[in-house]
Amino acid sequence: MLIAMAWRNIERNFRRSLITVFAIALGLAALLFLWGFNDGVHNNMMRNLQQVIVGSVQIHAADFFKRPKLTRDIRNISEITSVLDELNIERRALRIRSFALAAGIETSRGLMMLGLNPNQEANTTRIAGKVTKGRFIRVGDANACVLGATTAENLKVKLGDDVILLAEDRYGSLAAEKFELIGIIESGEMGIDRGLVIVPMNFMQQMLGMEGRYSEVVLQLDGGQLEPVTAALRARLVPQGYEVLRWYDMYPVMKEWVDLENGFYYIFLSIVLLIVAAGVMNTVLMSMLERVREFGVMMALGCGRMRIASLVLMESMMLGGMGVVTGTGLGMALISYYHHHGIDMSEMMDSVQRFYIDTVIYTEIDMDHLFITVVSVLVAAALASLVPAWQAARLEPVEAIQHLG
Amino acid sequence: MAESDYNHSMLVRIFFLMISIAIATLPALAEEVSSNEARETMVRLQALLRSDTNTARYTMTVKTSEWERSITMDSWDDRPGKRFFIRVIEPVKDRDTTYLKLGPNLWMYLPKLERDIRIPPSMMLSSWMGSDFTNDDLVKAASVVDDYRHSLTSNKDGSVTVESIPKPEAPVVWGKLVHVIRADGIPLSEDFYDEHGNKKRSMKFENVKEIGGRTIPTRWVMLPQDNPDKQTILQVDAIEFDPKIDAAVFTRGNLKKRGR
Amino acid sequence: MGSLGIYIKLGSRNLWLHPARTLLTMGALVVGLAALTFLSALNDGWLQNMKENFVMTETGHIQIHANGFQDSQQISDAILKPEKVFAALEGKPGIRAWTRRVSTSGLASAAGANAGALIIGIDAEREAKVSRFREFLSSGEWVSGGDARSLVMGDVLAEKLEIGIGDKVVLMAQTPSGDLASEVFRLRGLLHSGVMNIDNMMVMIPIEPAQNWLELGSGITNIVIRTDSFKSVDQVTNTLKATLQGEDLEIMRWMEIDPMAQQWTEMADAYTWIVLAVVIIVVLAEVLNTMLMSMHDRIREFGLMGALGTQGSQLFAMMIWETVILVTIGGLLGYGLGAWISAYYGEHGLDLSAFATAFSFMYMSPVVHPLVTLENAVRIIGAAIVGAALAGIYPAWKASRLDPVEAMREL
Repeated sequence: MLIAMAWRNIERNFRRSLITVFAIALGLAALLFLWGFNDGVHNNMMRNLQQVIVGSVQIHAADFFKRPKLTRDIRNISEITSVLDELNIERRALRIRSFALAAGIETSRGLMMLGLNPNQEANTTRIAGKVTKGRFIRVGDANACVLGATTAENLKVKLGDDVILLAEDRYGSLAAEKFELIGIIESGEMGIDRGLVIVPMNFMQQMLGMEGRYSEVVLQLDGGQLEPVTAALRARLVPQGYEVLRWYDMYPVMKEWVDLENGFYYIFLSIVLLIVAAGVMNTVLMSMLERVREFGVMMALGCGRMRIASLVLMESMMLGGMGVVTGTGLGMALISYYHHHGIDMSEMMDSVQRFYIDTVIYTEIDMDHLFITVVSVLVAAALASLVPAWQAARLEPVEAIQHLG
Repeated sequence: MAESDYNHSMLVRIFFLMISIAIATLPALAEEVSSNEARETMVRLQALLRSDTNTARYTMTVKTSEWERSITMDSWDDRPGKRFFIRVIEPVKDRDTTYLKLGPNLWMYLPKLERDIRIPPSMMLSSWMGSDFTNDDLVKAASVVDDYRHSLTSNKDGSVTVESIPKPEAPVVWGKLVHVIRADGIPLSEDFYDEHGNKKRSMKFENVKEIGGRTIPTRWVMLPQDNPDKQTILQVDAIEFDPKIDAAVFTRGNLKKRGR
Repeated sequence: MGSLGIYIKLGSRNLWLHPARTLLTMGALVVGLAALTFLSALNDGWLQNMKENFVMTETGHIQIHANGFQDSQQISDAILKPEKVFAALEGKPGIRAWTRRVSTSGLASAAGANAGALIIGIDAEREAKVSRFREFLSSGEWVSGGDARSLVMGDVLAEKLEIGIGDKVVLMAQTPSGDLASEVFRLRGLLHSGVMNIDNMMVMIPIEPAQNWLELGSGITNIVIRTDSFKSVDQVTNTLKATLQGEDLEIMRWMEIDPMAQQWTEMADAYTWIVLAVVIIVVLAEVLNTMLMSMHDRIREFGLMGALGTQGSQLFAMMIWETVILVTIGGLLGYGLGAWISAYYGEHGLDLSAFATAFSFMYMSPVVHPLVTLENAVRIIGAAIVGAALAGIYPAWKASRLDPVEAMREL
C-alpha cells in the first residue's frame, strides 16, 4: 500500500523525480568511471610488469630469491613440471641465473646473467619484443648475448663486438667466455637496461657446469588465476623445499604503489559521495518544500507522522534504487566504451612510451570496487533522505496547510 | 740548613718519581719484549716459507664429499717487491691461465679470452680458482707481519702460540689470527677468527720434509668453518729458494706468453 | 539606477525571499566546492610530499658532476679541483643548501661474508641540510667527521655481512688510477628506509677519509643542490650552466638523473586532471539539479511576472543575475570553507595511516599536509563559477520562453 502510494507520488512529480534520479545516477556513473580509469591504469601497469620479464609467479629452491646462489638451484625439475602439467599451466619458462662480471679494459661491471630458452620465453614473456637493435637470442645460438642499452654504452660495445663475461661456476672456479653482442634492449626500465645480460640457456648451463639444472621457473597467469594457482603450488611444492613467489612478493613496490593510490581513491570517493549525498538531500528537501501543504492535508486527514516519514523514505529509496540502477548502467556503459576505444593520455604525458604504463588507457573495473561503490551510493542516498523524512514527520498540520511555499 | 733539607726532600721526591715511572712502564716494557719476540717469530716464519724470492710448483686440490679437482701451477714470488706470478699447467682446460700481482692489484689472463683482466674489488673475495683461498689472500699474504700486533705464549710441548691482532688502521677483516709454531720454527696451524672470537677458517701444516734445501711443511690444508664438507689442499711439489728471477716475469706482457 | 542595478536588486531580493530554497541551492554549491577544494589541496599535498621526499632521498634538486659521470659512475670521472664550483655556488639565489659527496661502488667485507656496496663519503653537516638520509638511522649513531672510521650502512646489507654495530668492515674500491685500495671502518649505525637501494646497498662514511682512501685529494664526484622549491630548479640550473661554462661539468636536474621519477609525476598529474574533471562535472550536475528544481518551483511566479508585462529577455537577465549572485557567494563561501579546512590540516597534517598500511613506505609519510595554492584556487573557483553560470543558463532560458497563461496554471 505504502509502495503504491510512493510510486504514484513519484509518477506525479515526474520532473522532480527525474531530476533526483539523475543526480544519483550521474554521481554513481562518475564514480564508476573514475574507478574504471583507476583500475585500468593499475591493471595495465601490473600486467606489463608481469608480462615483460618477471612473470606472474616464479618457483625457485627455497630462499633463492633473497640469497641467490648458482648452487641453490632447483633440485629436481620434474617435481615441478609434473605439478604444472597437472594444473594445466602452459605458459612457463625455465631459466638459469647468476651474477657475472662484464670485463672491460680497466674496470668491470657487475651484471645479472640470465640464461633463457627463446621458445619458452616467447610463450611466457614479452622480453624478446624489447630488443631495439639487432635481435633476440634464437634456438641454435651459442655464445651470443643481449645487453641493456645503458650497459652497452658503458662498456662501449656495439652490435657484433665481443663481451667477456666472468662468473663463478658450480665448483667455485672462474668461468669466462667471450660472447658476441647480437642484440640491445632498450626498455626504459633501469634494472634491465643497466643490469642485465641475456644469453642462451644451454650455453650458460654448459659454461657453468650446470647442465640440466635450473634456477627458476617463470609462469604467466591470468589475473584471476594468480591467487588460486599460487595456493595450489605452495601446497604441493613448499614441503618439497621450493619457494613459490608471486610477482608482488618479489617486487612489492608496484603493488604498494597501487594500494597507496587506491587508498587515496577511497578518500576521494568518500568526498564525491558526500557531494552526491548533498545533492540528493537537496533535491529531496526541495521537493519536500513543495509538498508541505500536501503533507499538511494528509496529516489533517489522519495520516500518522510515522506514515508520512515512511512515505518520504520509501519514495527516496525507490528513487535511489532507480538512480543506482541507471547510474550503474551508465557507468558500466562508459567503462565498456572506453574499454574498447581507450583514453589517449599522450598529450598529458610525454608521448614517450613508458615501460609500465601505456599512453592509451583501457578502462576496466575490479569487481570489489564496483560492489563497494554501488552499495555506498545506495546507503548514502538512503541516509541523505533520512533528514527530509524526519522533517516531514515534524510538520504541524495546520501550519503546513497554510504554508505558501 | 733549610736549603740542604729542601734539596734532600727534592731528591727523594725525584727518586720516588723515577721509581714510579719505572714500575709503570715495566709491564709495557715486558710486553714490548715479548711482542718483539712474537714479531720476530712471524718474520722468521715468512722467511722460512717464502724466503726473499722463490720459484715453486704446487698442486692444489679442492675436495668435497661429492667431487674433487686438482690444479698444478708454477709460481714466481718476489716478497720485497710485493709481486708474484702464477701460471697454471694442469689440467689442460686451464693451461696457461696466469695471475700477476703487483702491489695491491691483481691481473688475470685466460687464454680463451685472449685478454688480461684486472680483478675488480667485487671479485677479490671470491675464491681463487675454486679453492678456499680468496684472491685477496693471494694479495695480502705478506701483510700479516706489519698489519698486526703479535704476542707470544709458550706451550708445554715446546711449541709457541702467537696471537696476532690487527692494528686499528689495518684493512683486514679478521679479528685475530692464531699461529701455533714448533720450537724449530715449523708452523703447525694457523687459525682465523672474527672480532667476536668465532673461528672462521683453519689452516693445518703437514708433511714436514726437506725440499729445495730447507725443511718445511709441504702440505697445507685449508678448512673453512662454514662448510665442513670442503677443504683445499696445497701441496708443494718442488721449490727453489732465492733464485734469480728475471724482472720481465712480473709484467702484464708475461701474462699472455705460453709456458714451455 | 541603471538596469543592471535593478537586476541585482531584484535578484538578491528574490533569493532572500525564499531562504530555504536559496540556502539549499547554495548549500549544494558550497559543499561541492568545499569538497573539491579540499580534494585538490589533498592531492597537491601528497604529490608535493612525495616529490620532495624523493628528491631529498635520491637525487637532490640539481647535481653537478664531472662530465660523463652519470653514465659511467666511475671514480675516474671525478671533479678533481672542485673549489671553483663551490665558489660558484656561494650566494646564488634559489639555492637553499648544497653538499659534496664522493660516491663509488666497491666491496664491503667482513670476516664472515662480503657483498657489493654503494659507498658514499658525505659531509655530514652539509648533508643534513640537503637530504633526509639521517632520518633513516634506525639504530646506533650517524657518521661523524670527528670519527674518521665511522661507517653507517643499510640494515639488510649489515645482515648479509653478518655484522652488528661496533664490528669492523673493510671497504675495497678502485682509485682513479685503477689501483685497488682497501680501508677499514667501524659500523656505527644502521639505516632503514624501505628503499632497496639504501637498505641493501648503501654504505656511508665521512668524506675526508673517503678522499684519502681513494686518493682523490680534495676531489669529489657529486655536488648535490637543494633549491628553495621545485619551481626554481630550471632557473638555478641555467644560472649555474652560465657561470660554470667552460668547466668540463654536467649539471643535471632531478628528472634527468632519474627519468622514472618524472614519469610517475607526470602520470600523477594526468591522473589528477581526470579525477578533478570528473568531480567538477559531478558538482555542476548537482548544482544544475538544484537550480532546475528551484526554477521549476517558481513557474507560476514567472507566469505571473510575464502576465504583468515582464519581457522574456528581462526574465532571462534576472535569472542570470540571480544565478551569478548565488554562484559568486556560494563559490566564495565554498572555496573559503574548503581552503580553511585544507589550511587547518595543512598546519596539523592529516593522519591517513588508518586508511592504508601502504602509506608509510618509500617516499610517503602517512601524515599528509594539504596544499592550498593560488593556482588551484583560480582553477577551481573559475571552473565553478563558469560551470555554475552555464548551469544557470538553461533554466533561465526556459523561464524566458514561458507562456504566462500556461505557467500560471502549473501546479
